[in-house]
Amino acid sequence: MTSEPDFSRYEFNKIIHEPARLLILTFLASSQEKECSFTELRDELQMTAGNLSIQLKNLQEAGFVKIQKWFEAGKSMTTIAITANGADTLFNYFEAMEKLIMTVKREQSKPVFERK
Amino acid sequence: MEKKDLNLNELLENIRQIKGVIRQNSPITRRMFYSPLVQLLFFITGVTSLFLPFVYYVLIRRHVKYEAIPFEIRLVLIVGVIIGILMVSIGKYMIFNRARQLVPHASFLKTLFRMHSRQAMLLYPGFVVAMLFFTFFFIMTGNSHLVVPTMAIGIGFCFCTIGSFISLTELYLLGNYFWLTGVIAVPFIINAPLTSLLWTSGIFGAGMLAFYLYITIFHRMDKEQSDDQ
Repeated sequence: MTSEPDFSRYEFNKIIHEPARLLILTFLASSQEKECSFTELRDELQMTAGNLSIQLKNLQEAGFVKIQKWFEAGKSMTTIAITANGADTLFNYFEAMEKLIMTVKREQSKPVFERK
Repeated sequence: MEKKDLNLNELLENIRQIKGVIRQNSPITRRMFYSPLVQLLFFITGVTSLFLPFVYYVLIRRHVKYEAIPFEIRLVLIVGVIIGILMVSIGKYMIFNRARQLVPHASFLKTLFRMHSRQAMLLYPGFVVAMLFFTFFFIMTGNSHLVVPTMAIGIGFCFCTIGSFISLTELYLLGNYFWLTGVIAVPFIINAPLTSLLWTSGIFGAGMLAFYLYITIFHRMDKEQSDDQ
């Protein structure tokens, strides 16, 4: 008899779980630079400006990124940086993912009749 | 089945790599490594590691054996070492705790474990305590000749743990340097304790100073970077 795995014990943050937001945070967290411009982020992740703006707003509201805007030579400039809280939550996310895969691996290595 | 296993292993490997990169670039790690106090600690530890065993070496050469060194000088040396270790420990705690406050909801221990890609680093305070314990134990039981090998072995262990600590940053080359010199120190520990103490602490001290120079001169972070939220 099989039963549904208990996913509640894995801490998957729902805001990060969305692919576009996960991509943005992972890009920012793995960048050597502390911050990144909006255009660079848009080009690197191949996202539309509209979609990127919406996702960044959600991440900012959650406290995962810090957005700074200013004007330079009459042009609007925007930089985005991951916050310590964002990096910590992203780390938690991947840790949960790692645990989940380990569980799957363990389950797979068991004989069929012993599996849940 | 085998293919599935392989894919899962690849996936795990990728996740671990991403975790490593997040850890490396995390604002907590950045704040710890580029804190002026950390730089100062590396500098002081480097100079002390170079200087103190040399004083010890000269004293033993002059007085032939440890017991013949005047009590006052021995006391000053021992108290100095204890104060030094306490100051470094308190300093490190303060730096870590300040960096940890960037994520207030994360517990002290959780952040501590998370910062270290290799948990061996967490044994470092244990090595220092064991080294101090055995040093005093040997002095009290009249086995002062074992003090030097104890210190040499203790410093050797510290090489390895600090090496693994530094490896988690982009400064992995320096980490490898520590590992390598730690391994090189082993034959000296076996053959000639006093020379080995000089070698290990000399290389250790020089490594610390090299690290200090690296983070202050060649890898200086701009002010904004240390002022994260």
